[in-house]
Amino acid sequence: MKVIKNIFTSVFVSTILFFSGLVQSLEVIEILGGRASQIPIAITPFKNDNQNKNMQLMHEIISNDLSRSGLFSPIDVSGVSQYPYDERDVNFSNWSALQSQFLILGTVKPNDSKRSKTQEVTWSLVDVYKEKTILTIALKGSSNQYRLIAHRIADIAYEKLTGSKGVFQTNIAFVKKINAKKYSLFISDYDGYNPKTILNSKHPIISPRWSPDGKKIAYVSFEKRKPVIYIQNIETGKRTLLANFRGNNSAPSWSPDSKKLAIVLTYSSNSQIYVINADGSNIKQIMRTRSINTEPSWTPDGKQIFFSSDRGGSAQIYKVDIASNEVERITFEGKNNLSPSLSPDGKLLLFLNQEDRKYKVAVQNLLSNQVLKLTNGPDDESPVFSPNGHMVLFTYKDFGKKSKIATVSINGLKVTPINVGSEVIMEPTWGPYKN
Amino acid sequence: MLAEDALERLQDDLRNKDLAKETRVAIEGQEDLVAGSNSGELEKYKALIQQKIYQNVNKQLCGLDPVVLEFEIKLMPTGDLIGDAKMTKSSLIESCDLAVERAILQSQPLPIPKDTRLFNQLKKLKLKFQPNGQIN
Repeated sequence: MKVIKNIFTSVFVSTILFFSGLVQSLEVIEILGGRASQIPIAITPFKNDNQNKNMQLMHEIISNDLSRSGLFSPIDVSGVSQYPYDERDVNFSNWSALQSQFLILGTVKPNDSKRSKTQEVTWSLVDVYKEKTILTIALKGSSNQYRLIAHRIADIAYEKLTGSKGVFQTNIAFVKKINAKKYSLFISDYDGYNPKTILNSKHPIISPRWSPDGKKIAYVSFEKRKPVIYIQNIETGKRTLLANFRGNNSAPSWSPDSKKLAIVLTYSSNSQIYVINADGSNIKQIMRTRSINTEPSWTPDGKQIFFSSDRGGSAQIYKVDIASNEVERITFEGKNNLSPSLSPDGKLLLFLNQEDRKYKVAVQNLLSNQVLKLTNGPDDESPVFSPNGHMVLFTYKDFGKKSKIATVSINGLKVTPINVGSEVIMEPTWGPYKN
Repeated sequence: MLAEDALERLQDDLRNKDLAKETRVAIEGQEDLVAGSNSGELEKYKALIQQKIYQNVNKQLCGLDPVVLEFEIKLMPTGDLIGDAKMTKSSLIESCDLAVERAILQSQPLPIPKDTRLFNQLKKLKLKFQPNGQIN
């Protein structure tokens, strides 16, 4: 009897202890949202035994790339007494004390081959908290390709840590007004380095738009004493006249498949949107209204076009379904909203917001309709998305009221001017990823 | 024989006393658990832990669509993790999963009560994250 009683008591106690244990393990804490905005990362100077000056700049280029994205905050490593060059040299507690979550380190050495003058850059991305190396990669290139190699490293690290492709090897185009009678269309690296002229003109050039396949740029030229639209092959320099209809021809926007363009004509009345094949054939008007419809921009699926219109009394952004011609108003905040374009995933609307005489770059989340002003103005213009939708290229006025270009991160935390000269710089566009 | 009987009785008594003590401790533990919840101390520390981790979650790495992640953690009395944060539900976005895991690691040491009984209730936690807001 005693034994049965003891067994019963033991089972009872065990059951209570078991369930009390379960209650403990089920304590739940819910965390909605998050406040951190940037990833602290340290990029140390690469070991460079042959003292190649170009290669000594690589860590700065990587740091600038990641910083410009607004998603990373590179840590100042100038006070660090000894840099690690190999993952085995990393003192994790030291880097953790500097609040660095990740570390990029590397070495540069001449490639072993005697006939080749290339350099080999072996670099690692290290997770400081987990105390492990995420990846180690060797890249080869000549020493004058140091910027390209650095951008490549930044792209790989960016993709590994954010899940999105980096844009540090892409190109931008912009117009430089040299003087009243000289305008040049340039292409350069995304950060303004390595600029090349692809067109010189005595007349203004506006609205350059890079084709999604990366081969061509459409732009508006005033060389025929009125705005007309050309398409220029970037590699060959050959250009064709796309639209020279009666009235003004302006605001070209490529369809996602690069086969068509939406353009704006004043052919029959005020500004109206038309779609035309890239070879100039098969022009068709989208919508027929008395109000102004302008600045078309395709959705990534090619089924709708966002545009600005004064149909509501002030300039606001609308979208039209190309098949049904059904129109829906998109923006409601602010006096005027202009210059729409869609992020590559179609979830964010980029536009120019005007309020209190200030023009600011803004984005609207099309799921929540929440609006975030990315810049403070007052004279910002021509915003365009980077190919991953994480940055925006736009123009602003410097202290001398001269137009310049800059990037702003999509979280609004990082505005970085692009230095491409002391002239007036305007009308930027961002090229697609290279194949 | 009598001595053996006495010894057996004594052992039975001791065993019963031990069992009674264990039972009492377990029941008191249950009562404390309820009392702790009611007093708000438990909720206070849960809120402190929630705040500390929230500060370190980078939701930008989780896209724009609503996502849910769940982790289980075990804590030392110092507030540091025992072992890894174990992901039991993924957002299906690698960068998001890693960002949330990093937020947990970065938040060490977590605020933990000095009171042992209260700590016992918090030493195993399930953390539920919705970086882009609540899913209805």
